[in-house]
Amino acid sequence: MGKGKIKRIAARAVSPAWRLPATLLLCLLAACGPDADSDGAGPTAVAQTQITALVWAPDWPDEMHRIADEFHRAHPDISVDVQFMIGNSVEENLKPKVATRNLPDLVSVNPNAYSAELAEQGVLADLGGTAAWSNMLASLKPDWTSRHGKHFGISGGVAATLIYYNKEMFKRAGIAAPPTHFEEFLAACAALKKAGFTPMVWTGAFPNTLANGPFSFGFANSVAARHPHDWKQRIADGSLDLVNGNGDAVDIFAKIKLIADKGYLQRGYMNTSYDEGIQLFADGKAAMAFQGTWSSGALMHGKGFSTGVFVPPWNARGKTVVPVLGSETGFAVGNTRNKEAALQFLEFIYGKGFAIQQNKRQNIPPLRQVGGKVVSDPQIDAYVRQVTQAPLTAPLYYSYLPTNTIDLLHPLLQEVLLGKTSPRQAALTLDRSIRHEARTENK
Amino acid sequence: MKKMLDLLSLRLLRRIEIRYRLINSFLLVSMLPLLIAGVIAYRESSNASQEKIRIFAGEVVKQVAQNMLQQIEKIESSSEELAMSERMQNALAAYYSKNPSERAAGHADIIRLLLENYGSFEYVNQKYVLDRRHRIMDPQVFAQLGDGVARFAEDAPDMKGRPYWDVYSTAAGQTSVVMLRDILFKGNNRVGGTLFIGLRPLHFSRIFESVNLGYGSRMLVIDARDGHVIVSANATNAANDNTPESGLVAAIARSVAEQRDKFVSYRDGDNKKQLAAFAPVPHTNWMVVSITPLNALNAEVRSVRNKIILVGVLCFVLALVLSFIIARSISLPLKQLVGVMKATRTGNYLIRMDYEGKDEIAELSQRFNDMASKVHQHNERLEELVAERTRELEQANHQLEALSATDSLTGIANRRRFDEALSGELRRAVRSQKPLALMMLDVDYFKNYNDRYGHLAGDDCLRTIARVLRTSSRRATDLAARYGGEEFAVIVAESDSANALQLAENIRNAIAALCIAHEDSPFGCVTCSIGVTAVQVDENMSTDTLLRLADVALYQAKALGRNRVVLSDQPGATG
Repeated sequence: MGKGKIKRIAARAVSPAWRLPATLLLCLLAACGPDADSDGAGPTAVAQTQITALVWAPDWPDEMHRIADEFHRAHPDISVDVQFMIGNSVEENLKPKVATRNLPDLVSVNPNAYSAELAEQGVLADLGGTAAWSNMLASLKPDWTSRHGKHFGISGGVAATLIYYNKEMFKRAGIAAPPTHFEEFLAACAALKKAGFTPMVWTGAFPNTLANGPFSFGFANSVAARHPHDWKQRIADGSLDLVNGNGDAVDIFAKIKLIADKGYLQRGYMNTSYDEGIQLFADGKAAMAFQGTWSSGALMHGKGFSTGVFVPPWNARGKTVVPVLGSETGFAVGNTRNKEAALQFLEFIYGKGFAIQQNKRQNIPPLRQVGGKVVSDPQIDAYVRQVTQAPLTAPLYYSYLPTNTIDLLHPLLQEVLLGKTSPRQAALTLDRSIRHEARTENK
Repeated sequence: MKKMLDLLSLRLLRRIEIRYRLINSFLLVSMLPLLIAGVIAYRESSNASQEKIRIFAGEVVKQVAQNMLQQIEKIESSSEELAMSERMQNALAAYYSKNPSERAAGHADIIRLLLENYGSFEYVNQKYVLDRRHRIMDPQVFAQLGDGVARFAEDAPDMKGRPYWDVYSTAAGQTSVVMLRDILFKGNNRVGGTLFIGLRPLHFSRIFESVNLGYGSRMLVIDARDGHVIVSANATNAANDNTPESGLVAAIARSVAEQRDKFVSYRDGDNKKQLAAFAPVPHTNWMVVSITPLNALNAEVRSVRNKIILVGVLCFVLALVLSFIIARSISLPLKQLVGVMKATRTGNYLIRMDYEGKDEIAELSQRFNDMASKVHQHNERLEELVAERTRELEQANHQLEALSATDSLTGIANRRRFDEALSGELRRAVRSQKPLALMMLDVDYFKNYNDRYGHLAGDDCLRTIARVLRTSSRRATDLAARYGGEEFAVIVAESDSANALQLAENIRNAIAALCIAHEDSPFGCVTCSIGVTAVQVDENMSTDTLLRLADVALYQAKALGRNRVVLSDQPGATG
């Protein structure tokens, strides 16, 4: 009997019966996946640093917000909480913060002894290593350097106070050329008044402008001109005599009072705010505005008239006018835990963000090189070039007066204008305050 | 029921091969309990997580709301103190004085008061006193800032001297949490101004920024009226994350209206389910809300579920492999057995199942092999029997055939065989054009011999003569046949008359030489007469013609005295 040969037959075809286990497996694997509600891993949250900026920007709050916003876009990990200063001075906003050790990460500061002292105390960071400092105009750097060499701030711009005038009104009043000394100035005011115009707009409710304008020019031409080499030192050591002798300071307040008394100012000038004053001139309701270059963006573009500028002739006939020129309020960085982030913001303000405020204000940039497309006014440029050539210039009042004297000066100016204080009394008060601060400082 | 069961088990399932049914049954048995257990565990764990977050988040938002209230009351208290202070009252009164000097002094004093009271706090973003027309009492503030503040104050409801809290956003989107309160003159209860204190949202969010309930929870304070975010845990992004949570507001409103638990679920703008615990902040329209994405809450549970599923998948794969092996151990031998069985259709019962084992299939295989072996044996025996019978039949056929062509007495060809052979040789001779010779032999005086010696002797005599003829006709083509009675015929193919005559003469002499005694013959022994014809045949010649010629020649031999050979002299005969 032969041996059978088994032929093996294997079933290879996939049977539909495999569908059941395959379906089970798919169900299990599907169940491994996220739920219908799952959204997967969300974007990783960026560690946020929120810095606080306490800013003096009365005429450009929106621009400051925009800069902060642009900065946040460029640095998503840093956001800026912008706070605006109130009142009449930077210093009165800073003092409570400094005194309670609550200084914000970035602050507006003036180039004065107070800020320098804060830098000396280490409250403000040294900005010498920043690109903004390197890029700042060399002429401004001394204003922002403490006596021990701390670079405590970056100027907001080249600051000059000047008189903006309505060329049409001057022409109609028969004024051929801007006045060159104080008597001519009074004559021009008289002519303007006679022609039915309001010669000048002052912001009595915001004495800061009065201090920047008439006071600073008065100080420059009555005090600084008399002590051209050591007036700052005299303020510092309390040896500056503002009342006795030549009565220099009396003349400062007297001129201010005189202009008001002669009726050369708009009606209700003591209730006029900063914004209202600018609007009055821009709307063609006054012939002149004593303002800073930082407001040229608004003042140079009045409604239906051409604007000119000239050096406020606070000089006596035959004397050379001493123009006011210096650093505008700038920015400093506090030595806070967010210092590095604040430094980045500072660099941004003077870098990519600078054009935002410059194009609104059209001041003279404090920088050697400005990035981006910026707008400036040729008349303002020419003015600053002109006054820079002057044999003697003086800075704005906030640069040299002691901080407590600044706080005192603002109501003092109002009181003089309101007749509550005579120019002499005001000069005495100012003199005493400066001497007092010098003594306190020395302590 | 039974029908259904039969339909399922006997019809539907039986359409599937056994191994697949086995695999599926293994999988179902192994996976179903796992799946059910997993689903139950997931549901229970998920519910437990939700309950946990409901309790924890509920307590936390209550505590946060309390802490916020403390902060709010602190600010309200200090603002109240400032509003009611003689300095503020006097400053405001001076501000409204017609005397410019007093007005300026009042103005300055208000600023000083603000700085003294709020100037040192880093969390205070804005600090203003608004006049009766909601203008900021600060001569340095420009319209672009002051207008926004004025609009905010105008939009605020009359709170009758009570503080009002809301969110103020600048044009650039920076937000502050603002407390607005009217400053009333104590003398006549008239509004003298409005205190606007803007606080950094961070001041409130710090209360809960360190609170982490896990599960991706986020805490925020919303305005219950429209869902706008007042403060979020990440206050930095509050401005960007100010999207109203409309679904949340509606859910909270329903819950409050129905006085239900302060825990709701809703779907957000992305249609994702969120769980929210909320607590109202007194003195405000705000709600402290802790929002937990359900998905994140279930992430931990899902992780466990995924582990179960992973184990399940591994079990599944293992079960699949094992069930495949087991099913194969059953189905493959069965398949082989079926294959072997199919092979037997061809009658091949030599085929065998080569299977080692101790299971039922081994026994079945053994039984099959035995059965196949027996069938094969039976077949072999049957085939042998058939072959034997066939052989026998063939022999019988041969014998029958021989019998049908043989003369039974003499053993030489009979008349029927002779006729067939003559016809065949005649056709062959026509084709080959060779001569054909035919001899007709008749035993002389054979009737007398029978009469004298009997028929048995006569038969012996005839058998003896037949042997002589068979011996003489040696060529294969020659055929000697008993033509009938005592007549014989011999066909000599391819032979001319001389050759045929010689052969006939030899036959006659051989018979004579036998000397078979025949007393009644003149020759004393048995003799024979032979008529020979040898012709060159053509198509017109028939067997009858040949027979007649040979017969005529025989007749002549008889007539000439018998015991002689006579050649037919008919035309066509070969010489």
